Amino acid sequence: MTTTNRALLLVEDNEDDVFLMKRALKSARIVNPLLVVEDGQEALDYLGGAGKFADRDQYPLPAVVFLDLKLPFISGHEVLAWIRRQKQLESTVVIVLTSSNEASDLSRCYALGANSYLVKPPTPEQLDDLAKAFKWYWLEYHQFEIN
Amino acid sequence: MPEPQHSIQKRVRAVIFSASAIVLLVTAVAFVTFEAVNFRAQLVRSLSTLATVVADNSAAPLAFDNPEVAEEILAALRGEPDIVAAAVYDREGNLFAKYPRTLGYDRLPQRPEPEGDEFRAGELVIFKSVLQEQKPIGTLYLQLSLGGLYQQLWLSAIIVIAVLLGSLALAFVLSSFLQKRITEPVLALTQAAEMVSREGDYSVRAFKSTEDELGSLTDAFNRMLSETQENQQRLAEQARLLDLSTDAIIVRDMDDKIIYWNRGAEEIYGWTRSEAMGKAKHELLQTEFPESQEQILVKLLRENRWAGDLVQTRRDGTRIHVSTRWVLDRDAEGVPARVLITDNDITLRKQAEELMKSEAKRLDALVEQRTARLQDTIGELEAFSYSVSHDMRAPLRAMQGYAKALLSDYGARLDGEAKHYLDRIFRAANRLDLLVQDVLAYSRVAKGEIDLRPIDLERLIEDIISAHPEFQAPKARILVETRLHRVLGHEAYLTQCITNLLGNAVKFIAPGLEPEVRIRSERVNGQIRVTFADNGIGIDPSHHERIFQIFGQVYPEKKYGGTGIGLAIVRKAVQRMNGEVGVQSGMDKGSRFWLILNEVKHDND
Repeated sequence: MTTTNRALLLVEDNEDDVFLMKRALKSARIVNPLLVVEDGQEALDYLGGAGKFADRDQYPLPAVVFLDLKLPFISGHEVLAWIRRQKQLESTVVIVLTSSNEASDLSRCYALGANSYLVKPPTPEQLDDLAKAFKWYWLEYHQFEIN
Repeated sequence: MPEPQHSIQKRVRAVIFSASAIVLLVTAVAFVTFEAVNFRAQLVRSLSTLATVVADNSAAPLAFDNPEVAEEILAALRGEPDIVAAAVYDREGNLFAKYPRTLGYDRLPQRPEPEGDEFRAGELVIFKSVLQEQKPIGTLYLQLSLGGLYQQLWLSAIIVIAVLLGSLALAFVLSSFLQKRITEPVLALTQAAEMVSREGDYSVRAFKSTEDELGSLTDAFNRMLSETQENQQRLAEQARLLDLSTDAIIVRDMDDKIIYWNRGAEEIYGWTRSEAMGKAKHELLQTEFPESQEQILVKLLRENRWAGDLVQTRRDGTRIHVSTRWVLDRDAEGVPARVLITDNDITLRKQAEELMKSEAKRLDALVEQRTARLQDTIGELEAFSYSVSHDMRAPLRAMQGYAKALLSDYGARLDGEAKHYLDRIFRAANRLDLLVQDVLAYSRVAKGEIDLRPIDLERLIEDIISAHPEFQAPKARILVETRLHRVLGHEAYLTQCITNLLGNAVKFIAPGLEPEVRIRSERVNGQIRVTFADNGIGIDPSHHERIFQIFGQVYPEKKYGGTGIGLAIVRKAVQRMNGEVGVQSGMDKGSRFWLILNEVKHDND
């Protein structure tokens, strides 16, 4: 229960999906701060603390990144690869959350060091279930690096 | 040829004629000699007889010393004109009487000689004792001229010579005639032989006219001819056959001189037989060898044969490619004597090969180009399906999400009708999402190469059941009735197939009935048949083909749901695994779907 203050970063360009994700997390009673960036470049800026994101009080480093693959400018794969190259982000949990279940995407993401790969569920109920499962596993049982 | 005074005729005639002539001459000489001797003997005998008679008659006149009587007696000799002189001498040897009376004494011997006869100088003389009572009382002398005798002999000689000449003429005629009997068959043989050698015509036969040695000779000659003719015909036949060959057949000696050249060679190289014979083959044809002539010779001597492709020149100067085979022919001592060469014009083939090569190159380039274009298309299609999976499903999720949110957040303020509409939006979006997923699944199984691996069907089905609550009790009963064989397949495809089949089985069920699926596998014709028998509503046989087509759904979607792609995916996936899918079913009888897959022969796992 000490993880409620850890920030979650959602990298998602589709505002509908952002809306549905927020609802699902809410329905699962996840209270951690959720920060959203809308493209790959913004994700890199956020995680790198560039520009306004240098303010870590307002933009804390996330414990978990929900990463969509199909993003404008810089793809999710590139963001993932970049994260895994950053020393200070090596323990950051990256969960790929995408509508693609292509084998090539799966293998590429795991190769790049994704912690998990989730396919966006088609129905809101399933998304709610997924949010609950996330909370249960990643927020209650998963041990984050202590910093 | 000058008409023959054939020497054999002359010689045979000469032999016959000279033999006859010698025989005749010897005969004539013998005859004349015999005649002469015989004549003389006869003359002596007859004169002696006459002398005896005259001597007897002269005995009385002598005894009575009466010369006149004696002369009268002698005068009786007139009857014998050849007696030219006669005399009687008394006991003392004195002339007693003479004949003719007018004869001079000098013509008679002075004294009588002892009894006997003697030829002397053209005369025969005889002395004969005149006896009285066995006692000589005088001597008779007779002298006979041989003129008559010689005349007689001459006559005989003339007759003999005439006969001889006649005989010789006859002998000549006969020899001319007889020699024909010997020479004619010989001449016939000679003529036949000449004809054969001149015309080369072995069908000529010598006429056999006798049954003797010449006849046998003629027979032997004719037999020899017919054998030769047969050989000739066989050779001609073989030569004709060799000429039928469209290959060039050439024989050359070890100095490369051409000693045989068939029609095929004439046609291929343009040189006629007479032009080619005796020429050096490689010079005539300006042969280009694929390797050095020394190497070829070494191979030819070692293996007695050599084959290769040559470039040679025709009479008209065109270069042609030939495929050639050489066979070395050795003589009885094993010394290389000849090379039999068979050449086959492969210029057209070479050209065709060149053409094919360039065509193949062109086709390769074309294929490469097309493949590249196809790759592009496939790439585009993959990008398309990727973007479909991403972009098309996102709005659907939004539709569902917002409908749900609207329902849960504002449900209290909506009436039943509005809630129903929201439900319809929700369900339509749901169905469209299923469709998109199935289309993607179909396109995924239809594309790309896959690896087939041994699959444990039992474990796979267990996993599928545990992943799908709708396949579990109490919603359905899935029974695996036999041990399931391991099959060669692709796990994802097979999972898709079985999920779809089981999904159909539990979906198409009469209301109120618990779906039940019995699974079994068996070996059929070296493959594995996996059967899924359900207790569903069944499928009319008239629809058995349609159900495997895309959107081949035969039941109203409203009643059972589904996209109509499931079985098409099954069929495509099974085909990709080198298998088959089929169904046995009737209305209200349940369905029996089966997959035929390859068995794992040598399981190395």
